[in-house]
Amino acid sequence: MTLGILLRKELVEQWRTMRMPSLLVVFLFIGIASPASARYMPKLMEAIGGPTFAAAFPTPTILDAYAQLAKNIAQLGALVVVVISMAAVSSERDRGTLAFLLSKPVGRGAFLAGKLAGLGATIALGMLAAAVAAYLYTGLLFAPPGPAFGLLCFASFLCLLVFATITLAASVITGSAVAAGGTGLGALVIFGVVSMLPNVGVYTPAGAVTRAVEVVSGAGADSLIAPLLAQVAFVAVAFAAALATFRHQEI
Amino acid sequence: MTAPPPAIECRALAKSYGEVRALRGLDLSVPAGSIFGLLGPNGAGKTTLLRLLTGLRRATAGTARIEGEPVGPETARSIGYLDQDPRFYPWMTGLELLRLSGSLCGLRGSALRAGVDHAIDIAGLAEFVRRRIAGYSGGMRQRLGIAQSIVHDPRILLLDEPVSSLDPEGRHDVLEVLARLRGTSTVVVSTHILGDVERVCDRVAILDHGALIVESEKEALLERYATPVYEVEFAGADAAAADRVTELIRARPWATSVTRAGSLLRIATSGTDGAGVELFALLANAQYPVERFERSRPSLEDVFLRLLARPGSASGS
Repeated sequence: MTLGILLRKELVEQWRTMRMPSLLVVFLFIGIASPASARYMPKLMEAIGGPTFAAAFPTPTILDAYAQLAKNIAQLGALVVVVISMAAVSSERDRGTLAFLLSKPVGRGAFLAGKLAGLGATIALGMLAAAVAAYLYTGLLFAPPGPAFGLLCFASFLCLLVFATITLAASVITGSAVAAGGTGLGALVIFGVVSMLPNVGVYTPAGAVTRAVEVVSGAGADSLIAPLLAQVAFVAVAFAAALATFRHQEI
Repeated sequence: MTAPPPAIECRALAKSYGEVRALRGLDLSVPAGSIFGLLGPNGAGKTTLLRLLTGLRRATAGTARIEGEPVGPETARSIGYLDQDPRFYPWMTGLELLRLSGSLCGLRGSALRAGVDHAIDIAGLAEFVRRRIAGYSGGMRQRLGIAQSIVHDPRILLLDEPVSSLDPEGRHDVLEVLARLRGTSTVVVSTHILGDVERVCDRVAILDHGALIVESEKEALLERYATPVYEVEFAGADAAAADRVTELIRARPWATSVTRAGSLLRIATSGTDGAGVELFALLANAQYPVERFERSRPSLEDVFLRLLARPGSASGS
């Protein structure tokens, strides 16, 4: 019950402090722009560099729309998630509201779980906005996406949740929004680099999303299970680290 | 039949921040139903003690118990806490904050509504409870802080400087609230305003440098340290002459505390026989006009200054 109360508080806070509306606008943009940019990129290149330049670009397919969506979510989407997560705990501490909440019968685990649930719900709403927009525009510009499109969206959501949890943990451990933001961006860069490595790259957030694109393109769905479980493990480890630290912190 | 445990019990409670020892093995027992004044100068350890009792901080050594239970998430249900500088979510309205506070303490439905209405009424919040907290003044925030601490009708209230940013009317209202809680809730009030403590508290503890100096019923404390206090009101307007008389009195060995506010001189004595007679003679010899000379009851402030033996306690103000 306490978790539900804290989740509601988090959602109202994210709405009123404009974090949720900002995220929704960005994700809506990603959902619209991804299939559109995939569809019109050759024409754009033709306008810039002429017909010879445009010939280098193959005729876009629905798979390009998926790949563009995955790339935008894993980069721009993850960046926005880091920004909305970076002050999650440190701002409560700086504002003095942490003492108000934790002097109530609210366990520290419930407090952090409420934070993560709030971020997760906001990201899910953002992902839903992006998915609906991408579904409609992909259907309009290419063909209606198949059921596997849902798998791509779910993998993208998990990828974003990893960055949210890492940034949340950094917000707890460092007690600074700036340091938390830096850690989140650092994770984005490091995971980005590792995602290009063979064998291990697929277990990074970006690697898992790329694998999801391959599944949507026809690869076996089984190959996505391990990468998705890896994302769940990242979330669990980051949350456990945050909780272990938070339990011993003084307010 | 065993006696109920005290509302709050600390045994050898210690807290250090690095080299700084904020609490030094504090033994303290707060009886249920009392209004307990926690006094002490800045840095005495009052806020640290209250934060340890809420579980916001952890003791370095010793134990703290609330109604017999070690401090933890479960004891938080019995407690209402007001921070020294209460801060709340600026994007919420006061009403939303009170509902959140009540919900987190387990109130639902009609019990929540009744608790919120009662808290609004007690704290005098009705006029601005629907406004966003971002626009609240310090006094409004303090009232909201008091309301959120009592919304779930806690058995124990821990109030850290509850009247520090209130105007005189607000202070009066809050003290009335505390007085009304006598016998039903245990209230621990940390404050610098000794007059307020004297007015509402029935027990008092004085802390200094993290150690308990004294803990007693207020009346017993006043009785125990009831050395005579004299008040002299000068009639003349010659400030330099008044200063000379003040210095003469201050030089006497029996004058433990001499404070001056304008034309009013307050002299606490060590209880030596004949101090009053000698003081009277000193005033007569000084030939400075005196409007009033009175032996009065010592106040808590006199006791406080005497117990702490602050260097400033013997200086005029």
